[in-house]
Amino acid sequence: MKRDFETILDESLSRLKQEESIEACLGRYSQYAAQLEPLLRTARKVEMLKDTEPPSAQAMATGRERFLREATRLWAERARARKLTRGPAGRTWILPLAVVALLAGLLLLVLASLLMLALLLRLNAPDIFHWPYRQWATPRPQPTMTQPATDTPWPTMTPREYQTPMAPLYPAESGTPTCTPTPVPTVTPMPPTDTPVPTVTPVPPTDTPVPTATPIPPTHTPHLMDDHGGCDGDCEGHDDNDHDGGDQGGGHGGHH
Amino acid sequence: VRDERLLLERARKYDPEALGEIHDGYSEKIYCYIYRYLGEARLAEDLTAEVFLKLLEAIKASKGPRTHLSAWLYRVAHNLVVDHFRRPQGESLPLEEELVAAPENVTVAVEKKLAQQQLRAAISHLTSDQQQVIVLKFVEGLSNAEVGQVLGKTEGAVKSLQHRALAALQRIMEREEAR
Repeated sequence: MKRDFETILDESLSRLKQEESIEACLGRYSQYAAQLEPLLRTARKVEMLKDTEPPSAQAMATGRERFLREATRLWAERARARKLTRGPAGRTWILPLAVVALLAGLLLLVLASLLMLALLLRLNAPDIFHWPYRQWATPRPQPTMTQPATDTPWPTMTPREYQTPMAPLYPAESGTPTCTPTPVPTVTPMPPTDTPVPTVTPVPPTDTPVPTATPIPPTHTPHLMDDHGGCDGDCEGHDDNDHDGGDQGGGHGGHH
Repeated sequence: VRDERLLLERARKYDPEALGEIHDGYSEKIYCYIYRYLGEARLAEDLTAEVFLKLLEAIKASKGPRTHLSAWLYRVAHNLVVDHFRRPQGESLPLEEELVAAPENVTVAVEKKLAQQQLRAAISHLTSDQQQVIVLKFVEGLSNAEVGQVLGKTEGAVKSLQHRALAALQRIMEREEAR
């Protein structure tokens, strides 16, 4: 009911706005006339306020000028604030530039390193750059294993020679042997064997005379030097017989 | 509404043309709205200028209207009027000075001015929403939808509000006449 009256009042007010008289509106809704009439008259009275004194043109112009001046000031203020807010971070071109500069520097460094390496290689091994080409163009002669024209006869060993002692390998300048055989008291003299083991006497390539060694009878010859001291367990061919056959060349000729 | 939206977009960029357009298009309406409450031309002009400065402040603060510019301006104007009534009243323009400026018959002008003052006084006794619906609808001639935009209410709520406002105003005026 109330909702209906509000709608009727609103329709009546719209008609009043369209210059329809209050009486005509009340005639349309006669059942609500008692309620409608004071409200419609109040609404009509309020329209009296429509009469207004127009604003002065000067006041409006002054207001407009003030408004636009203030807008300009605020715009400048905002632009300044944005500039301050951005600050150095606003210079967005710096980071890409730095990255590009860094990459360029790295590239230059790599190129310089390669150049230096190439120069060094060229100085040390000039052929290295031309190797594949030269190999294809002028094949290198393969080394051939040829027998020397003059065969140097292998030294013949006589039974007397490999019985020479090993002591004076190097010729003493003074002519006196530096090593004198000292009998080792702990060595028990072994009985002589029937098959002597040949020992190779190194022949110097030069014509220097081979030092002569004083022949020592094969039997009961003590060790001049303890050669086994440096071969403990390392020298191949050393077996228990070496000790027994120390007089057979100290194990040097075991493989010959 | 679409024009207002475009205008506001330009105004947010401090486009002087758009801002000038806004001032030219709405300043007189706002002045009249304020004047109908106050009945004083100078005061209405000052408050009108203040309304537009408030608009600039709102734009600066990234607030303010997005679509309904006129509704926003009416709302701000009404708030300024309310603030004005809350402040201790200073010296207002004497009635005689205004009547001297009036070209009409002095007697008719005086009666009219007195009736308007009584009406304004009666309206000032209404609630804020009732005041706005009375002035906006019956003086400014806005539709229910437009009043609803200013007040932030639906059309149905505006219809109910105008009913209560008219009834309250009628009672007030009857009481004043009975004195």
